[in-house]
Amino acid sequence: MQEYNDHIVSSFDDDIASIRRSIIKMATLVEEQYKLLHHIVDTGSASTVEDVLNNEPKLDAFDGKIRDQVITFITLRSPMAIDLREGLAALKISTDLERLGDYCKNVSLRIQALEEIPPAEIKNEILRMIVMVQGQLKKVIDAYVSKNKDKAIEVRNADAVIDNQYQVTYNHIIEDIRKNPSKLKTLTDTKLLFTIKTIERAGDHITNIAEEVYYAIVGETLSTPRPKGEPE
Amino acid sequence: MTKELKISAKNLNVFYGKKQALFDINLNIYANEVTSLIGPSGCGKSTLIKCFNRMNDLVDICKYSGQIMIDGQDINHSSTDPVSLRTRIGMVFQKPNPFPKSLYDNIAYGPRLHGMFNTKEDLDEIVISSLKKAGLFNEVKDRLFESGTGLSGGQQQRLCIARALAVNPEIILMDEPCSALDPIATAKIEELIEELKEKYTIVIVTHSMQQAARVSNRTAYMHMGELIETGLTKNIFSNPKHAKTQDYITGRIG
Repeated sequence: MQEYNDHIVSSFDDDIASIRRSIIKMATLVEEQYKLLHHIVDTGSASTVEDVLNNEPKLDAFDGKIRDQVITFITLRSPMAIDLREGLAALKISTDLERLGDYCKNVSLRIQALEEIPPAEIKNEILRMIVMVQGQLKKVIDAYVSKNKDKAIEVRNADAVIDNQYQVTYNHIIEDIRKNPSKLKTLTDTKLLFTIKTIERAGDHITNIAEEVYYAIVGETLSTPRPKGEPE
Repeated sequence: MTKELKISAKNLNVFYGKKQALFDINLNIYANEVTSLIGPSGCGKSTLIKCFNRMNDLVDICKYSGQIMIDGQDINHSSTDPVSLRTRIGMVFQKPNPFPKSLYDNIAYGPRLHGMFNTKEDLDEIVISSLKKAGLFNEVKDRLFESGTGLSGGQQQRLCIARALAVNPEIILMDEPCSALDPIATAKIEELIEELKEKYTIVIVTHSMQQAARVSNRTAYMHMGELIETGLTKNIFSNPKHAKTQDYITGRIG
């Protein structure tokens, strides 16, 4: 946990706190989206897809609001060092959060458009991937809130677990197509392949956030190459 | 590229009477670079640059230990003549301080004092080239024999820089040269500093961190008489290593 002294001008701290609050609110909404996505994959609920679609513009609005807050902060405060990194990290994190929200919407629509109900095993694996993403998201937001660089490193390293699950599920879907090559099955499974790729990419955006959090705290790029899952 | 060392303070301690103003300062200043000294009021920045041209000699109660080397020579050695040392080191102060004389005589003052010319034409040439180097010539060429105190603040400060340049120094010390100037005059001085560093070694004391960031290659942060951190300006302002530096540059309660 990294703590700094307060600014002499207390409204400087208020500005930073306000940007951080926006990031946290936005992240909370993304968490909510993934919770809804889990429900959609589990039950196929059409009304939940509606909820996801309704939330999506709110994320875009947060992204715009955070950009404006950061521009104002930089213009009026001329922040340096840790403060400047804090502002720039917020900009990049909000972009990643916005993208995470996009992915959620895409997957929801794709699941809704499936031709067939996916095999239970594959469905459970997709649910597992979503739970992993949820866990990573929660952890990275914790790292951001507590300014904890070690937690940020943990999140980055844990992305390999999602990558590995992606690979396993990918193989299962391909196997499913081979076993039962009907037209509908192939269409369904192709959509599932896109689905798991998108969820895997969501993990990458969480990794980006972890790296941003680390950079904001330490001022250096996390240098060691991050652990990757097995290649496709 | 290795930089040529111009000024080097080694284990420098300075006392005014019983009060110690500088504590064991070790600092290297490189040729043809701008080095900023930053830190809160009373931290010893001005005391330190006044050591470089032995201005502190003029303060009776000032004592020091340690060394200051310029071009590898100990400037406090008994063989060093402080007057000839000061011709190698120009100084510009916070408040422009032209002499109550004409522009011409302001600039000619040092060369006359040191007998640096043979003919009137030589002196004219020194005055004109100094004004040009200070970026002031075009603005004042028609009133060289009017009083220097009639210029604007920014012009007066550039006149003082021209006056410092007239004795052909190697080092220019600037003690908050822009603190009394508006942003446009400040920008002109900063542009001038950028040009001057090609020929001179510049040390600038400034309370404006933005200015230190804009003009200097290296920055040294001082706090209560100690040199806390020194490094490339881009590193000091983007990612300082010392918590005290971080607190100062980001405006935190230290």
